Amino acid sequence: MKPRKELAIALGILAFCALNLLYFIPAQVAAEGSSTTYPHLLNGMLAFFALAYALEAVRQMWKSPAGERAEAGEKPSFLDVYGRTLLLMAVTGVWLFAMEATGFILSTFIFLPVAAYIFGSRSRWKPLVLGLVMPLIFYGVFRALHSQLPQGPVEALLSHLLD
Amino acid sequence: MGDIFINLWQGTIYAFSPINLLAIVIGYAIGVIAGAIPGVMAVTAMVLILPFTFTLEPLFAIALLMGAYKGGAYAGSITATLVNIPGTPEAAATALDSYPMSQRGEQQRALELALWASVIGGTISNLLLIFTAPPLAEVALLLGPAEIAALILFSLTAVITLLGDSLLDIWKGFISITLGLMLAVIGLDNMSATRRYVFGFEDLDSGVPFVLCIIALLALSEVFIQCERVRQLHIEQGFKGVKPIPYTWPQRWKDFKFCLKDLIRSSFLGSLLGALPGIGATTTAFVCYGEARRSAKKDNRFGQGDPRGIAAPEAGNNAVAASSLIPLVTLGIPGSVAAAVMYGAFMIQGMIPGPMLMQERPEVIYGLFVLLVLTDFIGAFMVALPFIYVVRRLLRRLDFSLFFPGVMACCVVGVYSEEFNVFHLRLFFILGVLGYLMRKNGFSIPPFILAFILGPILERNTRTALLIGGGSLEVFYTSKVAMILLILAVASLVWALWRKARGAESAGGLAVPEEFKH
Repeated sequence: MKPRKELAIALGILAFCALNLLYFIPAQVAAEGSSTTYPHLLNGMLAFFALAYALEAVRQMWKSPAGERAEAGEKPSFLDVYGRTLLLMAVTGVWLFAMEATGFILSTFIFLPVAAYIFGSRSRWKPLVLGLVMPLIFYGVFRALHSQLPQGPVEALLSHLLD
Repeated sequence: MGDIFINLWQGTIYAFSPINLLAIVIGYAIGVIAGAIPGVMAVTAMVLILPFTFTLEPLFAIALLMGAYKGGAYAGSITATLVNIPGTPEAAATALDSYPMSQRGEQQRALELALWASVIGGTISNLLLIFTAPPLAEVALLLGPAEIAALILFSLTAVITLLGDSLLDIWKGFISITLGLMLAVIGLDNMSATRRYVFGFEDLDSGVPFVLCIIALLALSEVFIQCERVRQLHIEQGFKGVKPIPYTWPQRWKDFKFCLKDLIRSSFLGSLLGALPGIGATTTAFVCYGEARRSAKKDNRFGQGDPRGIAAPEAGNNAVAASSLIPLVTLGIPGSVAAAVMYGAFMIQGMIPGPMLMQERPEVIYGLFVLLVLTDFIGAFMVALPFIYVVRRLLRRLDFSLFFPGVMACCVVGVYSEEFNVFHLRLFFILGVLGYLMRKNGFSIPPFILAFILGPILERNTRTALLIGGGSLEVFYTSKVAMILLILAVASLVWALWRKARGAESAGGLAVPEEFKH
């Protein structure tokens, strides 16, 4: 990884330490009546290590600035490398955050084929079959164990039909 | 010594049942399949099984997990041998010689060599665990809060000493540990029951669940990383057709005699490195390979299919499995991610591993030891040998684009079934993204997880020690044991910084490749 990127990460961690010191510890620890000694100690440690990390990154930058420039221009674009992963993350986030409202079966039925296509599935039907079969298997197992997956309209319909 | 044999006998009676043997077979089979799939580690298989152990008998659950771990540890070498893709990071060292051997048509020889080396390494390590754990546990019972806190600090600093190849990696290791300790602070203060960092969410009062954290950081982040490699996975799936050469019994015996010295050395080296916190199987495998290469004569064929290049790393990385449990069963401190998963399995069963458990319920701990010994043999003879060919066929047909979404659905069900709480699914996603970002930027996950698990124990013992000492730090330097451990912690830190500053490489001049670190 490039020293410049290492430095940016170190500075980001230092910014988090400042936020923790000025806002999180007073509002989320002290205000709740809890002792702030241990959180302050950990925050101090993190700030110290981040500072050491930043200084080492700066040292590396001075050591090999030419090499870093030479690497530039050969890399594929950000979206080429991370586009698929970012899309998968977004879809996963929507799936998990929407599950409370939509229920497990419906959200997973939509998620699995979409995720399979993001992973590059060339088949049209296999992802749809996976999306249909897998949630129903989990539903069946949970039902047999007298437990419940997150409930939604499909679960309500199935319960109505099966009970 | 007599007590060990009596307890072993009791453990055998307690553990030796058809159902536990079945658990080993099932666990080993799951481990072999998971370990053979590139991108799915042995620990990932354990993590996926973990939430489903809630309703199982303690030893059945533990046998299942140990089987999965040992099966996965071996199975990484199957794809490493057949298609030069290490199924697990530790199999990368094996691939250096097993793939060239397989290219010559000696696939069966390479796969069997890896299997027998795994069994020998695992068995030697199991015996060391059985005979060193009881006396260490007796010593551990004498430790007070100050000593335990100092021991945890030493464990956490020791984890970092072998991370990476530069000073940047050392500082990143410390940041990982501190972030793990910070994550463990979330929830109710374990001494005053006041809230910390809960941001108004009552669901966070009991802290971040352990199983959720492990699945998110190891499994979900791995799926995100595999998503980047998806094209590569599709391309690399092709198997080359090479005419197989049969592996005869005289040749087996000849190989055994030829590799014996390396097998024994690597087994002991792997056991020793495995008992130290945080080193892990990957580094151990490369160290063992480096040692075997260093001690070989000049006319060796390392890198071109030398049998010692398969036997040494396989014996070493499998020896880690049992010896990494030594800190767990003697001190209650998990020294590796696999041991951390075992720690979780014990907690799910309502037991806290450590010296007290060994004293109060020796049949469970010795039962575990017996199952460990059995796992290597049952796994090798009943599962691994027949499964080698099943796995090969399975890998040919595996569709990664369906497999990884399926793994995600299993993870979500596993996380949800821990407490049936939808809030945990959101937390799972956030931690998965955090794990991905950490791994992409070179921050190691194992120290983070170890710190997350050890954080509450460290805080509780430090505060108890301070209460005993009336708020004074004197309690830490009046105890000789605590003082020695603190000096060791500082010394290991100074040594690590000095070593990295000099740019030293791993033992044997063979560093762990960047793509196999996590």
